[in-house]
Amino acid sequence: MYRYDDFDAQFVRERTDQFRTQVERRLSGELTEDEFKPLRLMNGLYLQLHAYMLRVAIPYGTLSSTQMRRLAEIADRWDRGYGHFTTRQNIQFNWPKLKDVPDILDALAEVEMHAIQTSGNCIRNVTSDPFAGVAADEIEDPRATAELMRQWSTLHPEFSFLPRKFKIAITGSPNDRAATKVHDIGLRMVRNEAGEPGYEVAVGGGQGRTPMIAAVIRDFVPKADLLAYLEAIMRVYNLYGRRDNKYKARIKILVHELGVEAFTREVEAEFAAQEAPVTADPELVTAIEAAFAPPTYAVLADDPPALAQAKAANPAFKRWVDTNLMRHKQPGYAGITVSLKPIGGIPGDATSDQMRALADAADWFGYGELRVTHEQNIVLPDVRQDRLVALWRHLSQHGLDTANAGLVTDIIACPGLDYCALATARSIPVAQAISNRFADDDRQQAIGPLAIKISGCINACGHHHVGHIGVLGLEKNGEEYYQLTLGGAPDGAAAVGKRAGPGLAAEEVPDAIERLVDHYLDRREDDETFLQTYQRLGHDTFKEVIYAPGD
Amino acid sequence: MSRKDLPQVVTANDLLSGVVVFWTGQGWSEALADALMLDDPQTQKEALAVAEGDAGRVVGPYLAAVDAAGLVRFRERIRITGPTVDYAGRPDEAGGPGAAAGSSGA
Ligand code: SF4
Repeated sequence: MYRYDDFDAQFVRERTDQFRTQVERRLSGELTEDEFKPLRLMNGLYLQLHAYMLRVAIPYGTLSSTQMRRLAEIADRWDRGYGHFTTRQNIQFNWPKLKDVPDILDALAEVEMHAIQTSGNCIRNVTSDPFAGVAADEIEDPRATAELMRQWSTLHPEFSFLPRKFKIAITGSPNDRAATKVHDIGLRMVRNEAGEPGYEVAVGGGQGRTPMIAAVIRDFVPKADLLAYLEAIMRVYNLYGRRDNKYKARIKILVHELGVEAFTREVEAEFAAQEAPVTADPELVTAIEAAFAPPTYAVLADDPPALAQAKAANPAFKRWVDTNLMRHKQPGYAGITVSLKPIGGIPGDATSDQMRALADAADWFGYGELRVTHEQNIVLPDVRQDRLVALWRHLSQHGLDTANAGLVTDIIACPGLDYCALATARSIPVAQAISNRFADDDRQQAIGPLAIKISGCINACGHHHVGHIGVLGLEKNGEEYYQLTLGGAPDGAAAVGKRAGPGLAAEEVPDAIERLVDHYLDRREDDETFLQTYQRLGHDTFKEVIYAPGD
Repeated sequence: MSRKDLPQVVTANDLLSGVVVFWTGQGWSEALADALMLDDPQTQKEALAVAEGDAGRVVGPYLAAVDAAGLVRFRERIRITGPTVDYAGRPDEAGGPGAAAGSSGA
């Protein structure tokens, strides 16, 4: 794993010390709230409905067992014994007290973590494939590039006051598990004709009130040119991006208003005109790449007899393996999704005990590393296949053995009106009701891959635009209601879901979803997924069943 | 009757803890029952100005409508009862925050 260098460590220390002083000055009345608010936001501290909320960065979703244990300690010592993993691959603590936050930041800094740069109009935490470095379909681990981008963008003077916040996602696989096409910049590793790895660059994706799929502006940028190319994009954005209207300030609007071709021309001209293009110091690149070097794996074969025997002996274990396992680069190993979506639970929440159990699992069954996924689950990247049954037993003692990765109950939901000051409606109770409705394991398996994503307002933190079924919570005359969208997809041929008629009351949502699912099961051909059947039959037939009870 | 025509209270979040508080006329209380009811626009404006002057204690004071049943807006009710869902860290099971708002059963 990447470790802080001296610069990082000192920088984080200084920021924490500064923030301690800023809190003291706020408490003594020396700073007004108007002066203090931007400072606390820069340090990841928000005010939610009932309390402050601290958002801790987990760069590209990778963390060590030591860091996970520290998160558990923070939850116990300064919060209410749990945390919430988000679609930004971060963790949020929902109940910190202002006076404790400097101590929390110190505790984070001790394990090389912080809450910096998780807000403001800067380049945010770079997100990545949770299976980076281990996925069988991967060209190269993209996290070395992600780390390079982090170092390049952190406090970059030119990019600290962008027109608006800026999100970059990166994947090293042709199969996009990082939803790159709904980010301001999406990078997907590809090979050129000579077989060299580089990146396909897509710009202008995003969710929120104006969802858009990013347009590919360059099929191939050699790895060595990537930072210079990104700088060209950022400069064009800084120059032409709108600052007069917050809702029009994201780069997606610029790409849309200029047109992809004109935007691309501007970027290419800027790229060509760079006199001293930024390049990464080769020594630094080597050091970062070494930090992401794979562990020394044992020489093993895939599908060991012990695994087959355990699966044959235990149907629940078999279901979990068949559902939550990801093929690993290294024979004899597996990537495992640990679901934070127990039936009827709160998506993404983990208690401090569960965090410790996850840290133990990473140490006992892997190389001490964990990943946070944008689906609000945890990944154990390197588990020996012959030890899967022991891992499963361990996880099941902590309520972490739900076999639903990618299935209908693996629901993404933002905190919504139960916590969030911006929300128009609740998300979590709707997720819980849907989860309870589809609790039956066999039925879930029969339905197959289905992504339901729920946001509590138009900001779309719950990624509803790219849900196969999206649910958006809104409010009218003091009542919550829910707008469904259909056919969205975060990956592959990424798509924004289409609105399906008027909104529904909360209690109508599970019925409507059940009708959609039944319609799919009735009409599907062969092994079609929900999305494929939807695409084949078209929007209208699905839309109709939402409003046709008893059909 | 629109919300604006209803009596109002001044609410905010406590600076130190973030908890929801109400202006009592003399200071701040976590209990809505202690809140000073403000019937007309003039007293509402004045109370809000006084509350805003107490920036050493609270963050973001604003007016919220109340009727006989309590706070009118659903959002405001959730603010005082806490999350409506049974989260892991709920401090008090029986009748703790959230019990009043209940789960929508949605
Ligand atoms: S989508 Fe809206 S309600 Fe949900 S977390 Fe984001 S801002 Fe809050």
